[in-house]
Amino acid sequence: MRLVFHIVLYFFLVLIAVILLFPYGFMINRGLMSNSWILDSYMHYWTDGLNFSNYVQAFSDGGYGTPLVYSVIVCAIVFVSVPLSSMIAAYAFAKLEWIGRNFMFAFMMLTALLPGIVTQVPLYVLYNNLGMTNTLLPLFLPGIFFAGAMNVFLTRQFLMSVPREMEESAKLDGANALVRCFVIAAPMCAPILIYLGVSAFIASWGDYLTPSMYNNSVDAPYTLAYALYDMTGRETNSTHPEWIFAAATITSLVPTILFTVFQKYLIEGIQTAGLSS
Amino acid sequence: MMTRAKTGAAAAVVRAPRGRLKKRLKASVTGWLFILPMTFGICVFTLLPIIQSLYYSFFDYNLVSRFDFVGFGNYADIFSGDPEMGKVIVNTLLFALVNIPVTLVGSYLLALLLNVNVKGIKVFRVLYYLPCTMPAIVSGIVWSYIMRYNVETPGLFNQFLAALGLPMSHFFYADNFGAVASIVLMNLWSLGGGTIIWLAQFKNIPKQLYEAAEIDGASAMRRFFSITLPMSTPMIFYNLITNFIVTLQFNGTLTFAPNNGLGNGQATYMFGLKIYHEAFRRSNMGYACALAWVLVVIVGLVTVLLFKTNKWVQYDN
Repeated sequence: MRLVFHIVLYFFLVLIAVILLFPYGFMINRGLMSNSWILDSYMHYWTDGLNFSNYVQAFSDGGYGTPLVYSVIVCAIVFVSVPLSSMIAAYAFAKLEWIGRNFMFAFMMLTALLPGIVTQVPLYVLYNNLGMTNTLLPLFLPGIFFAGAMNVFLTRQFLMSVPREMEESAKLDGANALVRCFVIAAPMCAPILIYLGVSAFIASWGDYLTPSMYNNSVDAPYTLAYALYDMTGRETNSTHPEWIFAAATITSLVPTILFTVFQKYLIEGIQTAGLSS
Repeated sequence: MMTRAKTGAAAAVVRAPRGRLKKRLKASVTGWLFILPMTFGICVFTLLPIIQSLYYSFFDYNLVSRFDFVGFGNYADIFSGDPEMGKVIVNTLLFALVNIPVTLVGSYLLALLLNVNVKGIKVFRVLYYLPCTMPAIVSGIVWSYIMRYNVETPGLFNQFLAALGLPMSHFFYADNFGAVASIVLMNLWSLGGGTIIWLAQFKNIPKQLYEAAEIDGASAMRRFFSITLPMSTPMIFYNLITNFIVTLQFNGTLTFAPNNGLGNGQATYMFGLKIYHEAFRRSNMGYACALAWVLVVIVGLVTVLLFKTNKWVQYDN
């Protein structure tokens, strides 16, 4: 009876996994197809061979090479700046005593209530006036100062559960607040900071929408996700679809690998974010 | 002597709080220095844009040549005058009414399946989440191929339908409600995202409840309806609200639907996309801001309504 239950259970677990992963497999297969096979009038699922040269061509002739570099730059910046800005603010809320702290905390949490769609147009006007449209700046500039109420809130919660002793003794030794924040407290907050950095990286990596708002010149630098969004409408789409799928595979593999490697931190972060609301 | 001692003591009493105040003020400087970047960020990238957005919503503003005050003209246009709004509202409501229940129930069922305690279940939890790690633009491209409608080169789903002897479907390319239904179908592949939060909620349910139920001889079905489901209601409520807010702002059709995401016959034209379209394709900045504020009011009203009718939510203490 128990064995039958297990067999049925595993059958369904595997079946659902196969169904859920079949688009991923479709993408990988198409990225490896030869040009004639992918342009065949019958849409194949399986590739006719392992044409890894597609990857080389996509990132050279296909024009995905430069966007890849820009993506890495933008994501590297948010990977550092989002945990950094969240840590500074959270430290002030959790460990420092200052006049106006409760008010500022409530003020920050209020910003989380308003749907982001409201600020889209004025932000475009702002970047346009500052000459920042058609640059990469709008993709990471806000996060350097403030990376969202939820991120600061989560870091603050984490900080409040961290034991006081080490900080108290550092304070007695004359360490100033900045040293205490980054040398003593930050290493203890590693799990939440890793969560913030990796999830900011993944979000920026896949963001095609923000660049699509601020880019209106063909000469402007753009990221890999935007390149995919933009190039699906271009000529390469009809002549070399395998390059698109090769680039799409790379674009997907990066967040997939990051998730698999950091799953412990990411799952915990997503769960605390969900439960604490 | 007496007086001097007295004044000395009084001075000490006065000095002590003044010293504390000084210390507090000094500490406050550090605190404010720490919070300065965040305050600057909120003011420049959130607060100021919110005020500007409200201001622009009363103007006919195209970014370059026009900046004319029109009073409530933009708002009047939304409710009467804009011929696209009818379609947009119907599509958005339809999408919300089908997508939210399907997503909630689907991910909940998946979480129940992933909550069983068997060997290797952790691997399946990761595998089920992997489709969510695929960036939206990539899944848009992939799904436009899978659901392609073209009699000569049918997509995978249509090959499948043809093999079963069924008529081909237009999916995203339909000019009716089938297009929205296809989006819901596609979203089934990202159900794994919701399961993570459900699983956390399941973990928070006290084990003693199940042990007690087992002693009382309650069946698995009974345990689910008397313990698991009631104990999940706070999370169901939270997911309902966040799903609703996200669904109303959805503009993901940009990545897969024809005609810049509008779909054939505007079949996938929804509120979030409408705002994007007015702002960044037609440069109707004032009108786009008015639309965004209407969305905020709708979200606010529905959230209040949900909170007023949340008697079914069981908050444990």
